[in-house]
Amino acid sequence: MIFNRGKIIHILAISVIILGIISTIYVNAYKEKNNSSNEIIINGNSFDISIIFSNINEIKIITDEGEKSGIPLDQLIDYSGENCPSCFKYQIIGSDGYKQTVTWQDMENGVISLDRIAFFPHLAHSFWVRDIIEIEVKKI
Amino acid sequence: MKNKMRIFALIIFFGSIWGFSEIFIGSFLADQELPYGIIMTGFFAMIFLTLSRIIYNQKGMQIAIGITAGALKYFNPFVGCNVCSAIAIMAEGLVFELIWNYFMNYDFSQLKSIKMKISIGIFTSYMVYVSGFILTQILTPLIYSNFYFENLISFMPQIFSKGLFAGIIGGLSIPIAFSLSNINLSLKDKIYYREGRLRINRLFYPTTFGISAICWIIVLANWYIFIS
Repeated sequence: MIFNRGKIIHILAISVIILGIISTIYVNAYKEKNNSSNEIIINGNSFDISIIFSNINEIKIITDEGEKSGIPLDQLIDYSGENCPSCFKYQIIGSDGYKQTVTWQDMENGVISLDRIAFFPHLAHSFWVRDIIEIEVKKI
Repeated sequence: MKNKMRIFALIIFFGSIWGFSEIFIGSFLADQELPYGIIMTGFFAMIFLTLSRIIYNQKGMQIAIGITAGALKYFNPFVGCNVCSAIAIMAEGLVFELIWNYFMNYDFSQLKSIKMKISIGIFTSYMVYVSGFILTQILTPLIYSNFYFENLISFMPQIFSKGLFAGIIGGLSIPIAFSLSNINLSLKDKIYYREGRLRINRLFYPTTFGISAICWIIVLANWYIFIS
């Protein structure tokens, strides 16, 4: 019985290493695929991040990590041409596949920095999506 | 006969130093932009939980250590979701307990070889880290707004990937914890035999309760200063 469990533990250790290696390869491939452009997709339309920053004024917000600057996320959605922004929720997607879904009220409080990080001063840091590649507009 | 007071003292001691290091060392590592979650679980959690298991092989102890560490971590002013991180650390203690209860026999005889120590270290650390991470990813959105299952699923490869490094560190930490357990710490027991004579370790309770009290006082004072 003990011998069997001993064998099982070796197999499990190797299994989690293999799972970790495969996941690392997948994550890096996914990142590489999505990191190549300087564009951000909002509701299916592609926008150049530097053009967005030249058209919308940056603001500064205070977070528990100090001052952060960026353009307001609600203005970004307005800029993308969304007619009824408060009618939807917003799924923010990072280049590594990380996603967080927030409400319009959250978007009104958040900013996106030039290096494509979303900051929400009123939410936990797990909502601060990095390397944003897409904002999906979804039905509530 | 096992002394409940001794077990209680060790639970409070290990839970307090684990929670204390999560708050202060974890926050320092985060400030340095190091992967603090991986280091905290792979090294600190594995060392504290394994040492406590070796010193006093009592089932259920690691859950209680996790609860103590989680209770202390609740008073961490440096994170957004205190409840989430507190529950996650409690879950880490539970996962460790479940794995070791299933795989370990009473005298750790199957852990004599270094290969077994490394394997149990990799597997335990990986599972503890991944389960704590998943729980945080569920609890944080739940507490702040809504939890979306598809967000978690799309992030699973990242969690499994990060778990690899926690597993590797754990594979080194558990052999280290076993070698540390050979040092005659004053924590080991209140009564022990040496050179054929029964001796009393008078430092046991002052050491365990004293260090635990210092941890709690510093954390609570820091919390009070931060919120006021």
